[in-house]
Amino acid sequence: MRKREDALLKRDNLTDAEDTSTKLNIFKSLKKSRTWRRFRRHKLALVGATFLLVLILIAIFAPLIAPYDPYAIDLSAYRNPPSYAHWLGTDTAGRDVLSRLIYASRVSLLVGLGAVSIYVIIGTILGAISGYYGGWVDHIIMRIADAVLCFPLFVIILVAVTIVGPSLYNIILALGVLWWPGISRIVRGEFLSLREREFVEAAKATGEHSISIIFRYILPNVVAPIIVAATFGMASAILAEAGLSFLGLGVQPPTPSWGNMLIDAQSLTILKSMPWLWIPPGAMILITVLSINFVGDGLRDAFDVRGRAE
Amino acid sequence: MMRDQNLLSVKNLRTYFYTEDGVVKAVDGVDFEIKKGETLGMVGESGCGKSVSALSIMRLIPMPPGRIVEGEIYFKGEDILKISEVAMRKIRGRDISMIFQEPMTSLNPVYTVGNQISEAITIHQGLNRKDSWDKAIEMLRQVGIPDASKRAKEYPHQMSGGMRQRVMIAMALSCNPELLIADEPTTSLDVTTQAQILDLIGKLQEEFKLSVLIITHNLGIVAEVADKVAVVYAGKVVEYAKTDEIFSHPLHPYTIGLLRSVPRLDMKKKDKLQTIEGEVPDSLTFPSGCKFHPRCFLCQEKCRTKEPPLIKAENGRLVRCWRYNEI
Amino acid sequence: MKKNGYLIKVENLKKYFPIRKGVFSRVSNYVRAVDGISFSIKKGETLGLVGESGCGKTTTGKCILRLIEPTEGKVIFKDKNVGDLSNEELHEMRRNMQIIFQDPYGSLNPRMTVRDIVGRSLSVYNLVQGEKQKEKRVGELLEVVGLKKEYMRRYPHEFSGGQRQRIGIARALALNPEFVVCDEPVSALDVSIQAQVINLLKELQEKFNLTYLFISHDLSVVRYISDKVAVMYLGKIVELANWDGIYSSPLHPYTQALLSATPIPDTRVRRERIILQGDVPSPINPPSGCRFHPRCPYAKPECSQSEPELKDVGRGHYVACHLVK
Repeated sequence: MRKREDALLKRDNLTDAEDTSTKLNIFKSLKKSRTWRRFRRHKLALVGATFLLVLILIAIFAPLIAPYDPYAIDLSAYRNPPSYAHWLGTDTAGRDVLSRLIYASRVSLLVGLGAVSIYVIIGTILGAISGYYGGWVDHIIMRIADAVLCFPLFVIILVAVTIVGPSLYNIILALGVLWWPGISRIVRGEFLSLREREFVEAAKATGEHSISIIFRYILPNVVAPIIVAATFGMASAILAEAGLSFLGLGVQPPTPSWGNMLIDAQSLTILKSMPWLWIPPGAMILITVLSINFVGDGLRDAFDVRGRAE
Repeated sequence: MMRDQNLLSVKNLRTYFYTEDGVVKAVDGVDFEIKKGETLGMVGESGCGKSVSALSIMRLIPMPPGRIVEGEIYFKGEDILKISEVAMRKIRGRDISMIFQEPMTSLNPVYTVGNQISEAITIHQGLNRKDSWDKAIEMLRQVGIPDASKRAKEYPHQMSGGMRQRVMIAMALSCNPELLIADEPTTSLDVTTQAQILDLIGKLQEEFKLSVLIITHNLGIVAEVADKVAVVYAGKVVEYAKTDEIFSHPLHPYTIGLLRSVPRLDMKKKDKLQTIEGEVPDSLTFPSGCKFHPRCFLCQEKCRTKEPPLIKAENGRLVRCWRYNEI
Repeated sequence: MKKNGYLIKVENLKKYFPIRKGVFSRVSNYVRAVDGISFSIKKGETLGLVGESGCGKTTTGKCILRLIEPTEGKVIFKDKNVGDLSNEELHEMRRNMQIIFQDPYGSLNPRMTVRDIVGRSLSVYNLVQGEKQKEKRVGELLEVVGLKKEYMRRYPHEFSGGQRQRIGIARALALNPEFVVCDEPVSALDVSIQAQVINLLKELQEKFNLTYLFISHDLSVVRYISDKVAVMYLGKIVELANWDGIYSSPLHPYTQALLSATPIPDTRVRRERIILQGDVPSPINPPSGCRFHPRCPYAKPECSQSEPELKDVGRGHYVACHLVK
């Protein structure tokens, strides 16, 4: 019997490696590289990922990179156009636009990550329970989800933020608490099909309890679609923050956010004659959201094949 | 001159798939011939290339990633690998038709079965709607569907697996083809239904003077329906002979192993089944030399390094083994 | 089990799946998947359960393990009615009853390593202390089923169908069960691999004194591994006998038809073929009387009126047919 398996291993002509640990590493890297290879084939996703990586580094090291204090008001430079001293000019309060832009990336990423983590957790748990148990539990959760989806979400968030008061954390909370139905539907759908699979039945037969089956057996198989959905969700969260801040209901000045930096553009003169005040934040929103969406596309394609085939 | 007697003759067919993981040599040396009215059984295990061979004959290999890299397929004396796609489309369905393992996936769920059959008849025979509908019902009757005119108006999902396969056969035969390729036609069916379908194919074969290429993993089916057998292993025909000879006196170690490892209804004692050691090889990592050598009980040094050709043995049999005459 | 030597006894087991219709999910009808079957298996024996798709054989297996809740009937395992067990008792009982699945691809979690797939139940029942001990035991189990213990760090997709089925067998054996339901364990495998797995199952049975319920649609496979055979048709057992009773003197017309329809890979054996007419009827509205009568070549008027009992015709041979006296 042993001999047979040995022969089999030898015939795997991936390598001549004799000891099994090297063998295993090769298998692992092969598996990794397959997803990676698929992702890499997506050129735009690669570009997007690079941009996001740079953005994250910028956000983390903002104090080191920003040429000025984003809150420092320079009365001598007021609405100055781009110059050597202020690469992107100064704003209506005489603050350096580039520095504010850099610090604002922190807000956007925080909103994106924060809101998404909250609603992914809520959505995954509700979706998992709904899909695994089915029956009336499923009915109740899904009807609540339908109800939430029925309202124009942006309006609800607007109202919610108005009531609890606008702030960075309130926005994160509002987005996180209200956006779970999308994820929970995805998770529920996956659970519905996965719970019928024989490995779940096998787990039951070996004495596993439901909670363990949900988290240990089924959930790892749903990770790929959740990651993809979360990526796209992040883009929407960043957009929502920008929108709210633009309306003055999001992050409050003087804390810089790309959205509230655009408030200035509400004035026609600025829109017409001072493009350095609104083009940079606008462009950052556009490029960031695009990048995230490209990455999302890439991830979906990279995961899809294995995820479905297995 | 040999060619002229054969309805279909396949010579040294090689179909490869160029995937990102490497070249999959799905079919790598398949040879066989089918005479008029004859049934050839092609047996082999999953991934051995039997279905890809059939699709190659139909020229239905998705390209890319697939490509027929070598070989000739003569149908009525003409190499159909060389003709145009337009000409091939005329042959497909009219001269050669095919039925598949899972009839549900080859039937369109949104049309009634009668519709689908008459559609095929209209395309290939140019009959008008009324005539082709009548012909469709006539075909359904011939494949043993009771109440044919009523059932023609049913949708595929309203029928059982056996009925659907009958519909597929009716559709395949509606244009009087000369060759029917049946790719695992009964694998998804129950044994009693399988018996019905095999019986039906046999009857229709006589009636329509059909040649049949039946592809299966089940040696029992081959024994019952085929005149000649091609045993396929790892993309290659390893043994080719008349059915009686294969079963009474197999030459290739793989054929011998297969026959000994199948539990049979007529086994005398309840002793241990003999097994073929090892696993069915993965088409990406075929071994060197004779593809069967890692599992072979006769394996020698030569088998590991040098691939045997199809060797002519007695009675015009073919076998791909260096040591067949030592058995 | 000591009383009469039976490890497991199934009495009048029924499983009806409700068919729901309409907005309020009203139950409009039932699929009578299993409709009152009884049998028993002695310790160390194998009962083969054969029948065509939809006859209820898989449902039977799953009802015995209570992976599906039976509608009616008793499953007595070691003198305890499995149906009456509380959740905790059932949890304990499952250590002794395991299942091997048909599909070697669907039955292994693609995101778990072999070590976790096989060894998880050891942790669930606290049979091992710590990872070291678990790995040791998993290694032993893998070797028992003919795999290398180094394979435990791999994922299922790195294995072939036959190897996966061995992993599934190792998982079933992890808890040292007495009784194993083998649900079509070889039908998804290649011909040359089937024999390996069948032989392995036989070896393991001898080694661990296992009792099998072997479910299959393939009469030749069942013949090879079973001591007793029960033939099912539309949720009922139509014939139950010792191995040689079923194969050398089948009494029920359905068993005869099934045997004659099973191809033999040999051209020298010529048999009389019985080709049944029609299809298996729907288990939603099974035919009246004997369920086989619409397809039976010997059907008499009484067959459509009253349902035949499964009766003993001597030497432990049971058959449900009006024509067999």
